[in-house]
Amino acid sequence: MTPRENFWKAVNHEEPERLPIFWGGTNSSIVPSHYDALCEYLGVSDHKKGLGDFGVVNLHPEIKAQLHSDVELLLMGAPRRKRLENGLVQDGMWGFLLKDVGGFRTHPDQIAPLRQARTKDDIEAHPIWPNPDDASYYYGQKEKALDFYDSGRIVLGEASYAGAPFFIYPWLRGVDQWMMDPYSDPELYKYLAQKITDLSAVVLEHWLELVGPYLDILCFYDDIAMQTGPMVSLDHYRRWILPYEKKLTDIAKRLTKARLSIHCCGSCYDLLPGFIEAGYDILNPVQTRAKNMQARRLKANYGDRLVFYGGVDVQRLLPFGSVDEVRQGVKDLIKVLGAGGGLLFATSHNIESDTPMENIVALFETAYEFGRYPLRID
Amino acid sequence: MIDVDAARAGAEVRKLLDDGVDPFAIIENGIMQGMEAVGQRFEAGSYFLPQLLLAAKAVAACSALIKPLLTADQHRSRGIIVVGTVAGDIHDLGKNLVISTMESGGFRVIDAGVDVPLEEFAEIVRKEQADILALSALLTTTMVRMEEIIQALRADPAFRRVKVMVGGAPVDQSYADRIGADAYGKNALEALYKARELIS
Repeated sequence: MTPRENFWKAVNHEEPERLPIFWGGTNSSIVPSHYDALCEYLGVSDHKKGLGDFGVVNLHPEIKAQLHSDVELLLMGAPRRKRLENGLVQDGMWGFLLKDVGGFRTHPDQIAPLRQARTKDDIEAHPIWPNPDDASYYYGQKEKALDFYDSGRIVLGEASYAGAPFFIYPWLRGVDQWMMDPYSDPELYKYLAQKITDLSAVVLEHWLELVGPYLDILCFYDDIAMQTGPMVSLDHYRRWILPYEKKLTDIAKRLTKARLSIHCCGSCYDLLPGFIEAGYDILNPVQTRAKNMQARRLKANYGDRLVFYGGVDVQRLLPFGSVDEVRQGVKDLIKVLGAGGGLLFATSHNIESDTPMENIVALFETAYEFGRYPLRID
Repeated sequence: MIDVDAARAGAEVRKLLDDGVDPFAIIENGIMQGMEAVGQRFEAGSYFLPQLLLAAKAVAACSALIKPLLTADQHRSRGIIVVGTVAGDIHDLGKNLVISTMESGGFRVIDAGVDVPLEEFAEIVRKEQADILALSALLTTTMVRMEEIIQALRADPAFRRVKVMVGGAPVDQSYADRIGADAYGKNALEALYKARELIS
């Protein structure tokens, strides 16, 4: 079977020949600051600088081959960012501000550009909104998608910041106000959430008209959970988030047969019914160390309705575990989440900069070694 | 407080002050108990982050009215605590919740901000004569800064009396024990309880 054939078996909850290994999504890669070291460790010297806000999006094909990756990332294009005089970087699509802190590119609440907004006019006065006719979103995308499709590998589509309305809201307004606005200023919340969603929808639609037929999986992003539980109640999700996301998933379902994935870190167990209602089929990154997110519990209660993309703990196991512990952790995960298909093997977020190289190699070697169906794991 | 309504809480406090109620009693019997109830609802799963943040806003609204009326002794009585996020880390949501919860508990709280280097923490603790330093980190890569800070403070006799608390998503009790922290709070309310224990 090709990687694509394995993928479709797995997402249809059937046993593939091989467990799909997802290394290369924006949230299932490695942080840029650790990428050089990995390339050096694996003997690849002609790599480019690792690019990406979260994980490296331009992984060298040789690195992917060595780590048995089955995916090709089709990341939507974006208008150029601008470095401002004060050292901050201004996003070209939405105008949110980025700051480099401690090797990370961050979006500090303290400098969110709409932090002080009180009225719809204040929102409209924000200078940068997406122009759906901007060619930088779409340039070369169809050709790339076709190439990936022809390779037989899994085409992982990410509409970047046209697929993440509730990344954009807090980046423009601050996480704290995103949480409070529905209660303290519901009209302002609705106006901004709708504006972000409507503009995202047009860009997403144009992009999917070009690449939709070639995608296997399309990833959207949320981040509404903490280590200990969801940030908001399921009722809050249904009322204040789901209607906006549904507009985007409806467009996706019309323009592509790809399965839809939702990225939500942390303990999102209580929100899973909402994610299913919103039209998502796949959960990422499956942070199994978070409360209520144990592999067994997820598989037993949602294994028939959701596919799991992720799962290997990056908070403790990968950075601080021994090679043997990593191997055992990987085997345990595959045994539980991979039973009968339904698992797209990946880390529960990007591999962090404090992760030993031996552990990274052990992670993927073990997945490759024990990812052959029927599973034989004691 | 329990309805997490800043405007109403503020109006209520103003009325009590106008009626001549002791400001410190308002903290002890009103704001602190309200914040405790909010924290308990959060732990029980009926309140979520929006309600915690709205409650924090209510605390801030009340504190702004009460603080100027407290005597120096009253201000000191619970203790002085410096709260900040360690270097390389800009996460401040949890830190800000700890700040308002500590304020609701009558502590005098100094917000050191985010991405704070060791030297700056030391300087603020020294200047404010703080009883407690509370450190926050949200990344496995930055939580190691906590250990460095604790070691540096322990090595300096000037900070002999200062207790150090730690918290944040990747931190737990065993990590706190390993790096020699005096206390770990798994959430803002627990941090308040632990801070009280450290002071008493």
